[in-house]
Amino acid sequence: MSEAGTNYINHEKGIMSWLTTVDHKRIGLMYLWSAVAALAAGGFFALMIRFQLMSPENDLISKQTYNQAFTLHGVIMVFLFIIPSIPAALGNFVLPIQVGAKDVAFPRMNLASYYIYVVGSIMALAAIALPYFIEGWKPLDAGWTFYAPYSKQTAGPVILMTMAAFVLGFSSIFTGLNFIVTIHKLRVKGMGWYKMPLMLWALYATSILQVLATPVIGITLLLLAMERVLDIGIFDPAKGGDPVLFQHFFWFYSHPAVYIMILPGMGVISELISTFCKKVIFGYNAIANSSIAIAVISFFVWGHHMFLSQQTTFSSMVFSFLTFGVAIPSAIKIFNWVATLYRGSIDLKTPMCYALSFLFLFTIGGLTGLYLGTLSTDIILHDTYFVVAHFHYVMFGGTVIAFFGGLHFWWPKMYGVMYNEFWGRLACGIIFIGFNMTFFSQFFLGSTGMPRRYHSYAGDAHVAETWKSMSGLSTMGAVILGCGIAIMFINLLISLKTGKKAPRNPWGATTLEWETQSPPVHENFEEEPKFTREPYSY
Amino acid sequence: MSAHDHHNPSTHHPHVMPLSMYFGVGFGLIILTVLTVWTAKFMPETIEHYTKMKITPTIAIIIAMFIASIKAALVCLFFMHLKYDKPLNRLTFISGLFFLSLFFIFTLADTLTRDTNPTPAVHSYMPEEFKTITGKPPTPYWVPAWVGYDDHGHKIGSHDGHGHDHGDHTGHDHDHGDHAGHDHGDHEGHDHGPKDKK
Amino acid sequence: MSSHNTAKIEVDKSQFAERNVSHHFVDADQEFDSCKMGMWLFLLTEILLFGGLFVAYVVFRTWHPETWEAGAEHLDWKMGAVNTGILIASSVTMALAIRQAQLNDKKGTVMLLLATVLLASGFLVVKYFEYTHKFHLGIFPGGDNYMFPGKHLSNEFIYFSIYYMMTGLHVLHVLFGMAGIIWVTLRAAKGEFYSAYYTPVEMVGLYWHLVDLIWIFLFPLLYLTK
Repeated sequence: MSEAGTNYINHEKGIMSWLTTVDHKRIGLMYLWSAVAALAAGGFFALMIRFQLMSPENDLISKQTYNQAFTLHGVIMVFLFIIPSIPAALGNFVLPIQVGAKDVAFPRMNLASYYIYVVGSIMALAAIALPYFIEGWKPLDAGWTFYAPYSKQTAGPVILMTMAAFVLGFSSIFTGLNFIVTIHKLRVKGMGWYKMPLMLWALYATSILQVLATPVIGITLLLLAMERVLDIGIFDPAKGGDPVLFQHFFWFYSHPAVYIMILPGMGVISELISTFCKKVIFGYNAIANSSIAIAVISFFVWGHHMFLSQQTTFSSMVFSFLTFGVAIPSAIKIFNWVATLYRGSIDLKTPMCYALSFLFLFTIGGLTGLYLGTLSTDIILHDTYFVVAHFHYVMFGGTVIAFFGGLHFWWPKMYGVMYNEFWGRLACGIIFIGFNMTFFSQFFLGSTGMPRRYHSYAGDAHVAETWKSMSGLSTMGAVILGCGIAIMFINLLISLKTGKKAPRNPWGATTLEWETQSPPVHENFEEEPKFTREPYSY
Repeated sequence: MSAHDHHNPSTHHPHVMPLSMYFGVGFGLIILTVLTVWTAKFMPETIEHYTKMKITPTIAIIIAMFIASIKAALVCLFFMHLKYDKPLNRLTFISGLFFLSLFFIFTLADTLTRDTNPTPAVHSYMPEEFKTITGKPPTPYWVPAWVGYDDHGHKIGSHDGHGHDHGDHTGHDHDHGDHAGHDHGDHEGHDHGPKDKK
Repeated sequence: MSSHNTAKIEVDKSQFAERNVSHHFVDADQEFDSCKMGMWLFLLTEILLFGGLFVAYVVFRTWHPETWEAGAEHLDWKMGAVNTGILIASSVTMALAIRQAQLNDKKGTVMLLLATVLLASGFLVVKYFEYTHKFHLGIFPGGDNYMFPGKHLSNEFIYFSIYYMMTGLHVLHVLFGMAGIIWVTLRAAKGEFYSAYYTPVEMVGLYWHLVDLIWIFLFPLLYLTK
C-alpha cells in the first residue's frame, strides 16, 4: 500500500494538509505542540510568582498583577496544558496504534476536538489579554477555582474565562468519548481486555472521568455566567443562594479532574518500567483494575477540598474517611511498579530516568495527600504552601514527569529520530533537582503556616528566617527547573535535525506501536496488524 | 483503494419492530402523564375526602417521580431500543445514573445535615482562634424577599441586593452569616487571599 | 439480532445513494455499533449536565419547601401537560421515522421527520406563551429582575431562577434537536438512508428521546408541586 520512505509526516505536504487532517497521529502532534506552548506560557507566570516571592515584602510586581499571575498560571497549566498533555497529545498518537486500528473511531470528531481546544484557548488568552487593551475591563483575579460569590463580584472578564473553560470541556469530552469507543470497538482481533497494554487501561479510565465529570463543570460555569448576567442567586449568599453549593458543583468535576491528569501518567509509567526492566510487569491485573478503581473512587471524595468551606462536619467526616480509599489503588500501583523493578535488568535510558523520578516524586505527593485528607490536620494545613507543594508533587512530579518520560519514549516513533541520550539524562537530572528544590522547601513553608496566594510576607519572628530562606531556595529551584526543561526541549528539537534514524523498535518494547515503521505510515500499519504477542512478554 | 472491497455496505441488518409497539408505548406514556397530573393535583383531595389522610406535597412529588421514572424507562427501553440493544449501551446508561446518584447523595449529605444552631461537643475545648473556624453558622442565609419592596411590590430606591464589601478576597469566601445578623465573630485572616484593596 | 421480518426487505437501488463504510472500520456493523455507543456516551454527558440543575433543585427545595409550593402556583400546569403530550407525540413520530428508514420507506421517513419538527415547534410556541405570560407578571429570571408585585415568600425568585435555567436549557436542547432533525430530513430526502445505513437518523432520534426524557422529569418537578 505504501512505497518505501513514505510516512504520515510526508505523505501529504503543505500547511493545509495538517490543518484539515483527520489522522490521529497528526492531531496528536498538533495537540502536543499546542500543549508545550501552554507549558511555556504557564511556566512564565510561575517564574513571575516565584520572583515576586523570592524575598519578604518584595514589590517586584503589583498586587493586582500578582493575583492575575497565579490565576493565569493555574488556568493555563490545568486547562491548557496538563489535561490535554498526555491523553490528547501522547494518547491520540499512541492509542489507535496500540489497539491495532487505523484511526480513532470518530476521526472528524477528533479534529473538531482539537479546534475546539484552540478556540477555547484563544478565548482564555483573550480573557487574559483584553483587560490590558480595553478601557474599563478589569484583569481576571478569581483564581482557577472561580469560587462564588467573589467570582460574581469581581470586575474581571469572568464570563469569557468560564466560557473558555466550558468550550475546553467539550474538547475534553470529545477526546474521551472517542477513546472509549475506540478501545471498545476497534481493538485488533485477539486482544482481549486483559491483554491490552496498561497505557490503554489508564486512558480508558481517564476517558470515563472526562465523559462523566466534565458536563458538571459545564453546568456549573453556565450557572456562574448566568449568575453574573441575570443575578439568578443560586450561588450568591446575598440572594439566599449557597456558595458552598458552588464548591460542591465545582469539585464534583475538579476532583475527578485531578485523576484525569494523573491516570494517563500512571499508564505511561507502566509502559516505561516494564520496557526498561525487560521484565513482565508485576501484577498486570492489579494495575489494570486499580486504574478503574481510582476512576470510580474519585467521585466519592470531592468534599475533601471543602473541609473549611462550611460544609457540615458530618459530610467532612464522610469525605475524609472515603478519601483514604483512593490511597489503596494508588499504592497498589506503586508497589507493583517497584516489584517490577526488583531483579529486572534495568536500563537507565532517558525515559527510565523519568520513570524513576516519577516513582520517587509521586510517592511523596501521594503520601502528603493523606495529611491533607485527614480532617484534623487539614484544618491546620488548609490553604498553606503545604497544599501547593502537595499538588505540585502530584501534578508536576507525577503527570508532567510522566509526560516528559512518555515524550522521550515515543519521540523516535513520532519523528523517526533518536535524541542525544547524554543531554536527555542530564536534563532529567536537572529537572529532578530543580523540582525538589522548588517544592520540597514549600512543605516547610506550609507546615510553618505560610498561606498560599499572598502577594508578600514577613512572618512572625520565629518563622521569618524559615520563610525567607525557604522562599529563596524555592525561587532558585524554579530557575533550575526552567533551565532543565529548556535543555530537554532543545535536545529534542536538535534531534530533529541531526538525530540518528530510529529503528522500528529502539527500546525492544512489546506493544503494537513498535511493530510498525518509525514514523508510521499514513494508516499506521503497512499490513493488517496481528496480535501475536501479549504485552510485557519478555 | 482495494481495501474497500470488503466494506460491503449492506452487512448491517436493522432490527425492525412492529407498529403496535410504538403506538402502545405512546399510549402508555399519555396515560401515565394523565395519572401523574391526577396524583399531584387531585389525588390528595380525593384521599383526604375518603380517608382523612393528609398527603403532603413531598409524598405527592415522590409518587409523581416514581411514575415519571416508569415513563422514562418506557422511553429508554422501547423508543431508544435499550431493550434490544447491546448490554454495553445499557451499562453506559445505568453507569450515568449511578454517578448522578453519587452527585445527589454527597451533596445532600452536606445540605441536609446543616443545622441552624451548631454546638459541636468539641467546641468548648477548642483554642479561642479555632472556634471561629468551626463555629460558623452552616445554614444558608435566608433573605426575606419583601425587604426592599414597598407594600405594592415595587422596588424601593436603588436597592440592588449587593450588600457585600468583600473586595479583598481572592477565590475564597466564607461569608455565610455575614448578613444573617448572627454574630459569630469575625473570621478574617484564616484563609482569605491576598489583601489587595481596590 | 436480525428477526424474521428483516430478511424480506428489498433495497431499491435506484432510490438510494450508494455508501461505503468509513475506511477505518471493518464492516457496517462495527461502524453502526461504534456510532451508537458514542451517542450513548454523549447522552450520558447530557444527563450529567442536567443533573447539576436537578441537584440544585433538590437542595433548594429541601431548604424552602413552602416557597417551592408557592412558586409552582404561578405556573400553568395545563400548558405543561399539553407540552408533555406534544413531546410524547413527537417521540412516537421520531421513533417511527427510524422504523420507516429501516424499511426503506423514503417518503414515510421524510414525512414523519417533518411531523416531528412540527410538533417540536408546537412545543416552542406553548413555551413562548408561558414565558411571555410570566414576563408580563414581572417574573423574570434573576434577583434584580424579579419584580412580581404579589405576595413574596422567602427566596421565591430562586424557584423561578431554577425554573428558567431548567426550562431554558431544555428549550436550547429542543432547538439543537430540531436542527438535527432538519439536517437528517434533508439527507433523507436525498435518499441517503436505507436499511443498511440509517445511523444519523438513529443518532438524532436518540438525542430527541433524551429531550423528551428530561421533560418527563421537569414536568412534575416544576408544574405539579402543589
